Amino acid sequence: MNKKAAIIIAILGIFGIIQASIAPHFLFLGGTWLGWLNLVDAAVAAVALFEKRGNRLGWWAAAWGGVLLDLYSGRFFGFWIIILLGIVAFIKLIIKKYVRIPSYW
Amino acid sequence: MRFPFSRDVGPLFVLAVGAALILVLNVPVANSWFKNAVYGALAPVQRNIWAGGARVSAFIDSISSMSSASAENERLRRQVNDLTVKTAQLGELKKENDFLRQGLNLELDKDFDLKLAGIIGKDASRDVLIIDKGSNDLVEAGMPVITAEKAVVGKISKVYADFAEVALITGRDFSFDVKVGDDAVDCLVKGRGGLSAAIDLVPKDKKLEAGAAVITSPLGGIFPAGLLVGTVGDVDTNDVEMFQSGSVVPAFDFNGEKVFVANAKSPAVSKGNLNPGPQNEK
Repeated sequence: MNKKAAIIIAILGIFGIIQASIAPHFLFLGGTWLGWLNLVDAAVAAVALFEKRGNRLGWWAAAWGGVLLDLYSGRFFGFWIIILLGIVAFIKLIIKKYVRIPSYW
Repeated sequence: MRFPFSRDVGPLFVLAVGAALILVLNVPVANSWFKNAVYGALAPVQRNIWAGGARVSAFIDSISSMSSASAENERLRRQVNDLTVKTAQLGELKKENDFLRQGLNLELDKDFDLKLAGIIGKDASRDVLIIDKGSNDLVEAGMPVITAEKAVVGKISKVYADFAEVALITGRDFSFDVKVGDDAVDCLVKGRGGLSAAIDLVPKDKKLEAGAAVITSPLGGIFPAGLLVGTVGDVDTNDVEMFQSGSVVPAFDFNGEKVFVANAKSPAVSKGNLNPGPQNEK
């Protein structure tokens, strides 16, 4: 569990830096498309979608991803943490309850 | 206890600690200190990554523009001919302008202390840049940010010790007075988010043409007069509306790596009046 967590922490960290520094040069990745979609959101949603039922890694990924996005956000600190926890809650408590999704970790 | 990914950790305890941390990090002093420390640690890496991203983006742009190179070449040839004629005319005007500048003391660096700042990042969902100059470099909120070509980028919205946030003119909550075209029609530029902006409140009896230059006006007091904002893109002249509107193509190059923070040398300049001129010095 801790090995997977370390990998996800590292990947989200890299995605956070890419989102703040490289993605703005490309309109789609720069978060300007839909205003909300970005690499960190997508990665956290993927973790929540494809982890085994009962695992909590998605919640921790949401908290860590939120911290990364809040670091480069002009909004109040915690804004992205709340958004990502909301996304994970939606996936785990609603989508995964009714849709059968394969689990990879 | 196997912290932090163990099931033994009570969810309520984790929530309470997380909420407390978030609350503490929303205290302005703690927030500034924390962000400044993290930006400071990551800035050397991010500066290089930003520059690399800019180069990759420029390379991709150059490849995608090759497909339309032939038409572009023809258009540029015509433009070169036009510009050759205009250059000859401007040569005379330049001499006159240089003379007037000398007399009126209008150079930007005489009105401002220009601080060179590197861009290190951008807010994921808003038009906000992060630059590597902060309160330790005498940067203050509200200062205009411009490019080397004197194109307006935005204004400082938040300052940390060694870094600052720049609200771009394309941000949704950004609006300021401008003058458009040869007639210098007073109107308003409003940010639309997503790196785009619109021009509004242009009276119907005034001519608004695509390609017309948009420059700052001292009326709003946000920017000094005479800085380039961009050019008019599409024009919308709806018969129902009281005013004309349109899009603005911002002049600043988003793929640039450096900007200038313009620190006004006198209160008159900071209020938007670029160099009051000799008559005010009496």
